[in-house]
Amino acid sequence: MISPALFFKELVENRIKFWISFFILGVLAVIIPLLYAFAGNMLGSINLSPYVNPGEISFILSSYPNYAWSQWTAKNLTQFASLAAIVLGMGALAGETAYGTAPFLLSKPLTRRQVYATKMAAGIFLLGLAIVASTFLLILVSAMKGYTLQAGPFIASAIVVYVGAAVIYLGTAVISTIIPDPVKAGVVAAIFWGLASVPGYFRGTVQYSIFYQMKAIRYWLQGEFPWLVLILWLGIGFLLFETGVYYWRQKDF
Amino acid sequence: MNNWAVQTKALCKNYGEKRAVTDLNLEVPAGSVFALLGLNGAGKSTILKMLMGLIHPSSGEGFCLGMDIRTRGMEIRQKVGYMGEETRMYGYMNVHQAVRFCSGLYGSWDDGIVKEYMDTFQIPGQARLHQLSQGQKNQLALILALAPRPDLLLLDEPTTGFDPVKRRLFFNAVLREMVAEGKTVLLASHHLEDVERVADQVGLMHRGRLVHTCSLDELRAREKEIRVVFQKEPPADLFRHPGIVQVKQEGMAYRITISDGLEEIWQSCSSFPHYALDVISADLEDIFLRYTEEGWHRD
Repeated sequence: MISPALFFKELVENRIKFWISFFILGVLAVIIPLLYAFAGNMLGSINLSPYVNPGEISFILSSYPNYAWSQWTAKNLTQFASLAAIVLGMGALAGETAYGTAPFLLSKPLTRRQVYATKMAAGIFLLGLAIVASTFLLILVSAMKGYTLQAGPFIASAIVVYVGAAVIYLGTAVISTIIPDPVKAGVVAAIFWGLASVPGYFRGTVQYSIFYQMKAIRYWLQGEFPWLVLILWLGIGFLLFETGVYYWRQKDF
Repeated sequence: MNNWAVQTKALCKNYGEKRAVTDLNLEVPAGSVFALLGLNGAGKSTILKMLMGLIHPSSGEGFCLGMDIRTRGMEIRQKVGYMGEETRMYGYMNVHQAVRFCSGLYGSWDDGIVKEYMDTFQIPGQARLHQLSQGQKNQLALILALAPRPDLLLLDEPTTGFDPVKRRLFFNAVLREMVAEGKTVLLASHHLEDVERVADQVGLMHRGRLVHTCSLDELRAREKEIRVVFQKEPPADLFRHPGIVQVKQEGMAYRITISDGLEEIWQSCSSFPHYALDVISADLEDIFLRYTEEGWHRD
């Protein structure tokens, strides 16, 4: 199903996007333990805005793991992994069309499904590598600074972010299949996923937001791993994949 | 495999109201070099792309090496080499990387062909593809199409951007690796010198239709031209013979293109006072232009 040669080509082709994503995530990961003491003093001493829940602040400052989770899983990782998913996905198929390489690729002994599946596998692999590697970097630097971090739950919550980001990637790839220009596809995908974040702004609909679920709040606070959400996302991911394959198969080059 | 390397039955491709290919009934004999001749937009590239599965036919049937193009595209692409017009490859790869990438996609791959023709065409292995000239890219595309040792090679305007030396080297490679091995080449081109050099069968395309198919020898043998300079204006009925397909006049000089009844027409012309009278084989360019001017009404 997956073509190793094409998979490798995709890794090479997306290496710059990967390294930029990993660099930014890595910097965001490293500054969390480095700035913990400073942030704690600052947040503890300033007058808080009336819009900030003092309970949230005290929760964040109650322990280093809570602080790290709030800054990493619930903020930096969720936001930037979503962005990386869009950046990686927007050129996945549109790039072949826009740069005129699709006829060359599709004249090789590969089925269209195989091409699509291999591209998705490579993109999701790179996304996962950036997320997991930067999370490990956070754990490592935290340990070097002498902070104890619960690595298991931390990695588990990063996996939730990863699956959510993979869904965003698959959705963006569908748009990239339909719109034959990577930049336009990226803009449309950003608008689409921006709209998908709207439920997250309302208390009654917050749980329907993919970005809210990616933070794995209930898992961190109550220890309930979001199996149901992950199964639902896998189902949505499958449907997005099949939709992308359908459109990719229809195209003439 | 039957006797046809390529066979289509009423194959059509429409883009909305526009008909790119109409009722194509094409039969390319196995082991031949078949050239599709036509002006730009005649539908040649569309046919090759349909055979390779790059474009979906609107209706009709098509077979490559006996395999249905709608259902066995993957197997077809294993056995058919394709070189598109102005092939665009991955510019960030160097030549060696492009070769490695392609070799990983095929079940069989002949590194000897790659090495030999990289040397022949003097393609630098470390050069990035975006640094190569269009001619070098086309040469590399040919190497990548030949290396899996295909049974059928589809070439779409392959010599665009070539100088005469490169053109000769290119076709020498095609002749040696495909024709000498008894394999089939289907060439789409509007470069008549290319076609005359390598093809043994031609199909003339006009506005999406295949208007005429025959062997190149047959076409040349059948299509003769009498060049005559009369001493005075000849009678109009001299040119009313059904075998005369075209008459061009410049003063008292006439070029009479004939598809049938050469002897009879020759006698008629020679019986009228003239300064010069010659019979020559019509050249391919004249034939091509006449077909494209007259279009499919002729057949």
